[in-house]
Amino acid sequence: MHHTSPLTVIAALLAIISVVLLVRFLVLRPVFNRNTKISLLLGLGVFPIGAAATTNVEGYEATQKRQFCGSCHVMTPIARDSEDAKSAGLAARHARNAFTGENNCYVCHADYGMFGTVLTKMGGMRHVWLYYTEFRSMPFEEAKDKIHLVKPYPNTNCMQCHSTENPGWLAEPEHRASLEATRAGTVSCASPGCHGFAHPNMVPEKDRGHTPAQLLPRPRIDAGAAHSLGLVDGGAP
Amino acid sequence: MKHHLREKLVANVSGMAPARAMRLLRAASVLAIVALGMMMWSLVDPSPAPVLLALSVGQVLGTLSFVTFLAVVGWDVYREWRANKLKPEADEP
Repeated sequence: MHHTSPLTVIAALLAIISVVLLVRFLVLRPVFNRNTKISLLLGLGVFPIGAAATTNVEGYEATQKRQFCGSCHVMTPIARDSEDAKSAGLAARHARNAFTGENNCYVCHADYGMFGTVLTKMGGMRHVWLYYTEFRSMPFEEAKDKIHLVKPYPNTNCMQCHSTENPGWLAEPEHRASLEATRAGTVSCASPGCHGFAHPNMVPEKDRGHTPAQLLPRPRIDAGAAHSLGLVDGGAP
Repeated sequence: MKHHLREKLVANVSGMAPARAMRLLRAASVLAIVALGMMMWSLVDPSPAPVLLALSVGQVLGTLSFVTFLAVVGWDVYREWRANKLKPEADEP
Protein backbone atom coordinates (compact mmCIF):
# COMPACT_ATOMS: atom_id res chain seq x y z
CA MET A 1 0.00 0.00 0.00
CA HIS A 2 1.36 3.41 -0.89
CA HIS A 3 2.05 5.50 2.17
CA THR A 4 1.88 9.29 1.90
CA SER A 5 4.35 10.83 4.30
CA PRO A 6 3.64 14.09 6.18
CA LEU A 7 6.52 15.71 4.28
CA THR A 8 4.82 14.96 0.98
CA VAL A 9 1.63 16.63 2.22
CA ILE A 10 3.59 19.67 3.47
CA ALA A 11 5.50 19.97 0.16
CA ALA A 12 2.27 19.71 -1.82
CA LEU A 13 0.53 22.36 0.31
CA LEU A 14 3.45 24.78 0.03
CA ALA A 15 3.63 24.25 -3.73
CA ILE A 16 -0.12 24.77 -4.16
CA ILE A 17 -0.03 28.03 -2.18
CA SER A 18 2.92 29.23 -4.27
CA VAL A 19 1.21 28.37 -7.53
CA VAL A 20 -1.99 30.15 -6.44
CA LEU A 21 -0.01 33.30 -5.58
CA LEU A 22 1.94 33.18 -8.84
CA VAL A 23 -1.08 32.50 -11.05
CA ARG A 24 -2.90 35.36 -9.32
CA PHE A 25 0.05 37.63 -10.13
CA LEU A 26 0.14 36.47 -13.75
CA VAL A 27 -3.60 36.81 -14.32
CA LEU A 28 -4.43 39.97 -12.36
CA ARG A 29 -1.21 41.82 -13.25
CA PRO A 30 -1.24 44.01 -10.13
CA VAL A 31 0.80 47.21 -9.71
CA PHE A 32 4.34 46.62 -8.49
CA ASN A 33 3.78 47.97 -5.01
CA ARG A 34 4.60 46.79 -1.50
CA ASN A 35 1.76 44.23 -1.39
CA THR A 36 2.83 42.73 -4.72
CA LYS A 37 6.41 42.46 -3.47
CA ILE A 38 5.32 40.66 -0.31
CA SER A 39 3.04 38.36 -2.29
CA LEU A 40 5.91 37.51 -4.67
CA LEU A 41 8.36 37.08 -1.82
CA LEU A 42 6.03 34.38 -0.52
CA GLY A 43 5.21 32.94 -3.96
CA LEU A 44 8.75 32.95 -5.38
CA GLY A 45 10.78 32.66 -2.19
CA VAL A 46 9.38 31.46 1.11
CA PHE A 47 6.90 28.79 -0.02
CA PRO A 48 8.95 27.40 -2.95
CA ILE A 49 12.05 27.16 -0.72
CA GLY A 50 9.97 25.23 1.80
CA ALA A 51 8.56 23.02 -0.96
CA ALA A 52 12.06 22.45 -2.41
CA ALA A 53 13.51 21.55 0.98
CA THR A 54 10.81 19.00 1.74
CA THR A 55 10.92 17.64 -1.82
CA ASN A 56 14.69 17.21 -1.50
CA VAL A 57 14.29 15.16 1.65
CA GLU A 58 11.52 13.10 0.07
CA GLY A 59 13.53 12.68 -3.13
CA TYR A 60 16.60 11.60 -1.20
CA GLU A 61 14.54 9.04 0.72
CA ALA A 62 12.86 7.86 -2.47
CA THR A 63 16.27 7.11 -4.00
CA GLN A 64 16.95 4.67 -1.16
CA LYS A 65 13.86 2.55 -1.76
CA ARG A 66 13.80 -0.73 -3.67
CA GLN A 67 10.83 0.55 -5.67
CA PHE A 68 13.10 3.31 -7.03
CA CYS A 69 15.93 0.93 -7.97
CA GLY A 70 13.50 -1.56 -9.49
CA SER A 71 11.77 1.02 -11.65
CA CYS A 72 14.41 0.57 -14.39
CA HIS A 73 13.41 -2.54 -16.34
CA VAL A 74 16.87 -4.13 -16.10
CA MET A 75 16.61 -3.97 -12.29
CA THR A 76 12.95 -4.98 -12.02
CA PRO A 77 13.60 -8.78 -11.91
CA ILE A 78 16.24 -8.25 -9.20
CA ALA A 79 13.81 -6.18 -7.14
CA ARG A 80 11.10 -8.81 -7.70
CA ASP A 81 13.45 -11.52 -6.44
CA SER A 82 13.99 -9.41 -3.32
CA GLU A 83 10.25 -9.28 -2.78
CA ASP A 84 9.81 -13.03 -3.33
CA ALA A 85 9.06 -14.57 0.07
CA LYS A 86 10.35 -17.94 -1.19
CA SER A 87 13.64 -16.66 -2.59
CA ALA A 88 16.76 -17.80 -0.75
CA GLY A 89 18.98 -15.14 -2.33
CA LEU A 90 20.92 -12.88 0.00
CA ALA A 91 19.05 -9.80 -1.21
CA ALA A 92 15.67 -11.41 -0.56
CA ARG A 93 16.73 -12.54 2.91
CA HIS A 94 17.78 -8.98 3.71
CA ALA A 95 14.53 -7.60 2.31
CA ARG A 96 12.68 -9.72 4.89
CA ASN A 97 14.77 -8.10 7.62
CA ALA A 98 13.01 -5.16 9.23
CA PHE A 99 16.25 -3.13 9.44
CA THR A 100 16.99 -3.21 5.72
CA GLY A 101 13.43 -3.90 4.52
CA GLU A 102 12.34 -1.87 1.50
CA ASN A 103 15.70 -0.05 1.51
CA ASN A 104 17.69 -3.27 1.10
CA CYS A 105 19.29 -2.25 -2.23
CA TYR A 106 20.67 0.95 -0.74
CA VAL A 107 21.68 -0.50 2.63
CA CYS A 108 23.79 -3.23 1.01
CA HIS A 109 25.18 -1.24 -1.94
CA ALA A 110 25.87 2.09 -0.24
CA ASP A 111 29.47 2.99 0.36
CA TYR A 112 30.34 3.83 3.92
CA GLY A 113 32.73 6.31 5.46
CA MET A 114 32.81 10.08 5.60
CA PHE A 115 31.96 10.65 1.94
CA GLY A 116 30.03 7.40 1.53
CA THR A 117 26.69 9.02 0.78
CA VAL A 118 28.20 11.38 -1.80
CA LEU A 119 30.15 8.56 -3.46
CA THR A 120 27.04 6.36 -3.49
CA LYS A 121 24.99 9.11 -5.11
CA MET A 122 27.71 9.70 -7.70
CA GLY A 123 27.69 5.99 -8.44
CA GLY A 124 23.91 6.18 -8.75
CA MET A 125 24.21 8.99 -11.30
CA ARG A 126 26.57 6.76 -13.26
CA HIS A 127 23.92 4.03 -13.21
CA VAL A 128 21.30 6.48 -14.52
CA TRP A 129 23.67 7.60 -17.29
CA LEU A 130 24.42 4.00 -18.27
CA TYR A 131 20.73 3.15 -18.24
CA TYR A 132 19.74 5.97 -20.57
CA THR A 133 22.76 5.54 -22.87
CA GLU A 134 23.10 1.73 -23.03
CA PHE A 135 20.41 -0.33 -21.37
CA ARG A 136 17.17 1.54 -21.94
CA SER A 137 16.17 -0.42 -25.02
CA MET A 138 17.95 -3.64 -24.11
CA PRO A 139 15.90 -6.69 -23.03
CA PHE A 140 16.68 -7.94 -19.53
CA GLU A 141 17.97 -11.32 -20.75
CA GLU A 142 20.57 -9.53 -22.85
CA ALA A 143 21.32 -6.88 -20.24
CA LYS A 144 21.91 -9.28 -17.37
CA ASP A 145 25.01 -10.66 -19.08
CA LYS A 146 26.42 -7.16 -19.41
CA ILE A 147 25.50 -5.71 -16.02
CA HIS A 148 28.29 -6.17 -13.53
CA LEU A 149 29.63 -4.54 -10.39
CA VAL A 150 32.24 -1.90 -11.12
CA LYS A 151 34.40 -3.39 -8.35
CA PRO A 152 34.15 -6.58 -6.27
CA TYR A 153 31.48 -6.36 -3.60
CA PRO A 154 33.31 -5.34 -0.40
CA ASN A 155 32.81 -7.37 2.78
CA THR A 156 33.05 -4.08 4.69
CA ASN A 157 29.51 -3.37 3.53
CA CYS A 158 28.34 -6.60 5.18
CA MET A 159 30.44 -5.86 8.24
CA GLN A 160 28.59 -2.61 8.92
CA CYS A 161 25.88 -4.82 10.42
CA HIS A 162 27.64 -8.17 10.81
CA SER A 163 30.66 -7.00 12.75
CA THR A 164 32.39 -10.44 12.82
CA GLU A 165 32.91 -9.80 16.53
CA ASN A 166 29.78 -11.30 18.07
CA PRO A 167 30.09 -14.64 19.84
CA GLY A 168 27.16 -16.01 17.85
CA TRP A 169 28.90 -15.23 14.61
CA LEU A 170 32.24 -16.58 15.85
CA ALA A 171 30.54 -19.76 17.02
CA GLU A 172 30.14 -20.81 13.41
CA PRO A 173 33.15 -23.00 12.55
CA GLU A 174 33.17 -21.73 8.96
CA HIS A 175 33.33 -18.15 10.17
CA ARG A 176 36.20 -18.92 12.50
CA ALA A 177 38.06 -20.76 9.75
CA SER A 178 37.80 -17.84 7.33
CA LEU A 179 37.88 -15.00 9.85
CA GLU A 180 41.01 -13.23 8.64
CA ALA A 181 40.16 -13.76 4.98
CA THR A 182 36.65 -12.43 5.56
CA ARG A 183 37.88 -9.32 7.34
CA ALA A 184 40.58 -8.76 4.72
CA GLY A 185 38.00 -9.18 1.96
CA THR A 186 39.86 -11.97 0.20
CA VAL A 187 36.87 -14.29 0.65
CA SER A 188 33.52 -12.78 -0.24
CA CYS A 189 30.55 -13.32 2.08
CA ALA A 190 28.38 -13.47 -1.04
CA SER A 191 30.44 -16.17 -2.72
CA PRO A 192 28.94 -19.55 -3.69
CA GLY A 193 30.86 -21.37 -0.95
CA CYS A 194 29.54 -19.09 1.80
CA HIS A 195 26.17 -17.35 1.78
CA GLY A 196 25.45 -17.78 -1.89
CA PHE A 197 24.50 -15.27 -4.53
CA ALA A 198 22.81 -12.02 -3.62
CA HIS A 199 20.75 -12.04 -6.80
CA PRO A 200 20.38 -15.65 -8.02
CA ASN A 201 18.42 -14.62 -11.12
CA MET A 202 21.45 -12.66 -12.34
CA VAL A 203 23.60 -15.79 -12.25
CA PRO A 204 23.72 -18.08 -15.30
CA GLU A 205 21.62 -21.23 -14.89
CA LYS A 206 24.64 -23.54 -14.97
CA ASP A 207 26.19 -21.80 -11.97
CA ARG A 208 23.10 -21.86 -9.78
CA GLY A 209 23.33 -25.43 -8.57
CA HIS A 210 25.21 -24.57 -5.42
CA THR A 211 23.29 -24.50 -2.16
CA PRO A 212 24.42 -21.66 0.06
CA ALA A 213 25.98 -22.74 3.33
CA GLN A 214 23.28 -20.86 5.22
CA LEU A 215 20.66 -23.19 3.75
CA LEU A 216 22.50 -26.39 4.67
CA PRO A 217 21.94 -28.09 8.04
CA ARG A 218 23.54 -25.90 10.71
CA PRO A 219 26.86 -27.15 12.07
CA ARG A 220 26.92 -28.12 15.69
CA ILE A 221 28.20 -25.44 18.01
CA ASP A 222 31.15 -26.74 19.99
CA ALA A 223 30.97 -26.86 23.77
CA GLY A 224 33.27 -23.88 24.36
CA ALA A 225 31.32 -21.57 22.06
CA ALA A 226 28.00 -22.79 23.42
CA HIS A 227 29.20 -22.03 26.93
CA SER A 228 30.39 -18.56 25.96
CA LEU A 229 27.00 -17.90 24.39
CA GLY A 230 25.22 -19.01 27.53
CA LEU A 231 23.42 -21.75 25.62
CA VAL A 232 24.33 -24.37 28.25
CA ASP A 233 24.01 -24.30 31.96
CA GLY A 234 27.53 -24.25 33.28
CA GLY A 235 26.37 -24.76 36.82
CA ALA A 236 27.63 -21.40 37.95
CA PRO A 237 25.42 -19.52 40.33
CA MET B 1 19.55 72.62 -19.66
CA LYS B 2 20.96 70.78 -16.62
CA HIS B 3 17.63 71.08 -14.83
CA HIS B 4 15.82 69.67 -17.86
CA LEU B 5 18.16 66.66 -18.13
CA ARG B 6 17.72 65.76 -14.48
CA GLU B 7 13.96 65.90 -14.77
CA LYS B 8 14.12 63.65 -17.80
CA LEU B 9 16.37 61.18 -15.99
CA VAL B 10 14.04 61.02 -12.98
CA ALA B 11 11.08 60.46 -15.28
CA ASN B 12 12.89 57.73 -17.21
CA VAL B 13 14.09 55.84 -14.17
CA SER B 14 10.66 56.09 -12.52
CA GLY B 15 8.67 55.16 -15.57
CA MET B 16 10.79 52.54 -17.29
CA ALA B 17 11.62 50.27 -14.38
CA PRO B 18 8.18 48.88 -13.48
CA ALA B 19 7.40 47.72 -17.00
CA ARG B 20 10.69 45.87 -17.35
CA ALA B 21 10.41 44.64 -13.76
CA MET B 22 6.94 43.24 -14.39
CA ARG B 23 8.11 41.39 -17.49
CA LEU B 24 10.99 39.84 -15.55
CA LEU B 25 8.71 38.94 -12.65
CA ARG B 26 6.20 37.30 -14.97
CA ALA B 27 9.01 35.22 -16.47
CA ALA B 28 10.24 34.34 -12.97
CA SER B 29 6.71 33.29 -11.97
CA VAL B 30 6.45 30.98 -14.97
CA LEU B 31 9.86 29.46 -14.16
CA ALA B 32 8.82 28.92 -10.55
CA ILE B 33 5.56 27.24 -11.60
CA VAL B 34 7.50 24.89 -13.91
CA ALA B 35 9.97 24.11 -11.10
CA LEU B 36 7.17 23.45 -8.62
CA GLY B 37 5.49 21.21 -11.20
CA MET B 38 8.68 19.13 -11.46
CA MET B 39 8.87 18.85 -7.69
CA MET B 40 5.25 17.71 -7.47
CA TRP B 41 5.81 15.18 -10.27
CA SER B 42 8.70 13.67 -8.28
CA LEU B 43 6.46 13.32 -5.23
CA VAL B 44 3.66 11.65 -7.16
CA ASP B 45 5.96 9.38 -9.21
CA PRO B 46 9.21 8.81 -7.28
CA SER B 47 11.07 7.08 -10.13
CA PRO B 48 14.54 8.10 -11.43
CA ALA B 49 13.57 10.56 -14.18
CA PRO B 50 11.15 12.74 -12.16
CA VAL B 51 13.27 12.65 -8.99
CA LEU B 52 16.48 13.58 -10.83
CA LEU B 53 14.70 16.30 -12.79
CA ALA B 54 13.26 17.78 -9.60
CA LEU B 55 16.60 17.66 -7.80
CA SER B 56 18.52 19.23 -10.68
CA VAL B 57 16.54 21.22 -13.26
CA GLY B 58 13.77 22.01 -10.76
CA GLN B 59 16.25 23.41 -8.27
CA VAL B 60 18.01 25.51 -10.92
CA LEU B 61 14.76 26.98 -12.27
CA GLY B 62 13.44 27.70 -8.78
CA THR B 63 16.68 29.36 -7.72
CA LEU B 64 16.79 31.38 -10.93
CA SER B 65 13.25 32.65 -10.40
CA PHE B 66 13.98 33.71 -6.81
CA VAL B 67 17.26 35.40 -7.80
CA THR B 68 15.35 37.27 -10.53
CA PHE B 69 12.82 38.44 -7.93
CA LEU B 70 15.61 39.61 -5.61
CA ALA B 71 17.35 41.41 -8.47
CA VAL B 72 14.15 43.19 -9.50
CA VAL B 73 13.37 44.23 -5.94
CA GLY B 74 16.96 45.39 -5.46
CA TRP B 75 16.77 47.35 -8.69
CA ASP B 76 13.43 48.87 -7.61
CA VAL B 77 14.82 49.94 -4.24
CA TYR B 78 17.81 51.49 -5.99
CA ARG B 79 15.50 53.22 -8.48
CA GLU B 80 13.40 54.77 -5.71
CA TRP B 81 16.49 55.81 -3.80
CA ARG B 82 17.93 57.39 -6.94
CA ALA B 83 14.69 59.15 -7.73
CA ASN B 84 14.39 60.53 -4.21
CA LYS B 85 17.96 61.69 -4.32
CA LEU B 86 17.53 63.50 -7.61
CA LYS B 87 14.10 65.03 -6.98
CA PRO B 88 15.02 67.71 -4.37
CA GLU B 89 17.93 68.83 -6.49
CA ALA B 90 15.70 69.03 -9.57
CA ASP B 91 13.18 71.17 -7.67
CA GLU B 92 15.84 73.70 -6.75
CA PRO B 93 15.47 77.04 -8.59
